[in-house]
Amino acid sequence: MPDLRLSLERRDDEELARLARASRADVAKGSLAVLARRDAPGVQNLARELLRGHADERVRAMSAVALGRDGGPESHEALLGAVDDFHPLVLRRVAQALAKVGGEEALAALRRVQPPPDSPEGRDVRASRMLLSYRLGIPEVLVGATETTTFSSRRPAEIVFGGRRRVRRGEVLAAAQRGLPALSVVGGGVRTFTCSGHPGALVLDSELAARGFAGPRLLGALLRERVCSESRYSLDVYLLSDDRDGTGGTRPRLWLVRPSGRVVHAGDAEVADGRATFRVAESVAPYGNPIKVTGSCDLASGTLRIDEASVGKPSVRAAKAAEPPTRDTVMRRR
Amino acid sequence: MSVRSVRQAMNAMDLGDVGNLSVMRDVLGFWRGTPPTDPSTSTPVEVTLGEAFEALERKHVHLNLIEVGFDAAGVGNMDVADDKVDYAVHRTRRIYANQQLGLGRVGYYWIGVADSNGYDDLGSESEADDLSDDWSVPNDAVDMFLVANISDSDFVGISPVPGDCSKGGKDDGLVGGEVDRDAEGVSRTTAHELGHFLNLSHNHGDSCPTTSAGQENLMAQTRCAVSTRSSVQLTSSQGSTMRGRCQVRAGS
Repeated sequence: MPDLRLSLERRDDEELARLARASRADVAKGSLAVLARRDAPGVQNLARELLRGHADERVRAMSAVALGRDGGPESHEALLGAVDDFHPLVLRRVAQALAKVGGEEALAALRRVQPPPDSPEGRDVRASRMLLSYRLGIPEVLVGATETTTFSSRRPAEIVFGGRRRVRRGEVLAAAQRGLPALSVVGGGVRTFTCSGHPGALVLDSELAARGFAGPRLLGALLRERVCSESRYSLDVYLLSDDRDGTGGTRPRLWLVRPSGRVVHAGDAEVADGRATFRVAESVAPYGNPIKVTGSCDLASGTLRIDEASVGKPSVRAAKAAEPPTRDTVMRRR
Repeated sequence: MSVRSVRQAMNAMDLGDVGNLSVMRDVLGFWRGTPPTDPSTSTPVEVTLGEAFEALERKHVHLNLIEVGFDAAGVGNMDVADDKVDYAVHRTRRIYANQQLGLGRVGYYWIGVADSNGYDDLGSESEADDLSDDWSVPNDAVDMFLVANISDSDFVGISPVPGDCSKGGKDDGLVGGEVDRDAEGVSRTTAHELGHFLNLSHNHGDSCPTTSAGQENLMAQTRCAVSTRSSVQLTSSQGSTMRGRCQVRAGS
């Protein structure tokens, strides 16, 4: 057994690959995670091997996560094969990876597995099918009805788009690519902003104009700066649209949805003459503070004009976080 | 006012001064009621009541440890998991004491697998957001979630920098890490993430620090740390930053 006081990060790829095959799950999982972070040569082969053959579900789950950063055909195939893994944790991570890199076969494979809908794996499979539906433009699973509150804050703070803060677009693009390899984004499609003091970035699909709004669409994503995350920027919410009201794509609904499937904000748009005018002013507590963002987007160039962007505090009537029981109370009940 | 007795300590932690209490659990914050095991020596760490009293006399921060899914099968022996968490409490107290910041009341909260909605295992930073949005303890302590497992290659713990001053906002909690790691790794990550919550950023950019002092700093990312045991130093400037945060209480 290695001396675990020495950070796994300070070991070379060869040793980590050996440790990733270890039977001790925390060592194997941690080693694979470091290799994935490094994008080490051969990590996808190793992840495919471990996804198929490691005895511990945590290692197989981490393997699926690593393959979800790839998007290559062999990784896709390995993920499809793992949809039938008996362990719910592996199914969850496989489904999420397929949501990022899978095609129509992935949608069919996830349709076939039917975990209990109220279970975590049921939720994640549904969320993955939903994301695939929007990514692929197939109206199979749409964003579910959610109770929202409408922005009405009297003393809002401004969400500042652009501004002086220097954000490295390359870093944002790389994070977007990792979080969603199937999304086609170019540097011009990145808009930075600061909300409640926290930097973020909006990345837009480079083919906004070509695909239209008649079906479900993945329009882009919001990334959030995470100082303590290895990649600094990470996926916060997907920006989705659909034409559930049957307007022929002229008045699509807009959704900001976390990868877990939780809706955070909603809005609508009007599309005419190659321009989308949008308004996002519905929020879901406690996942998103009330916001109001209005503006328009030239679909051919991706040029965004923000007319108003504000964030407020949650209404006193909004849903609140639950209070966890003390451990003493729980243990006494047992 | 100085803290010279268990009753004064209990008052300083707003726990009242009557009733049954366990010095190890209620004053020193060890759930198991006994000093945790030092992973280097496999023997119990040495602790004194004096260090808990001193922590309360200084500026200090209270902590809610919200354990998520520790009853999951993958966690294995619960006593081992509890020992790791107690060791993390001990290490955090010692690391922060070097910068005159005390660790005060430690409260234990419990979200079992059945209630965790799957967030006993975190697969992304946004699932960490879901968890801390779903749960919060309405008191004056920092909410730190400890989960059974993290299935993401990009983080071993995650915290806003800095954390919110009050509860109910988007950044009012942090994930102190997963218990499915070695004890030394768990303890460094909890202390590191609490540092973020108290407004410390990493002590380096994309490249790791080149100096030994930089690599031995608590706020060096794991990939830059010399070891999870030794890389726990804090500078006086970092101490000053943390002591100035809104979550930090005046000494008794």
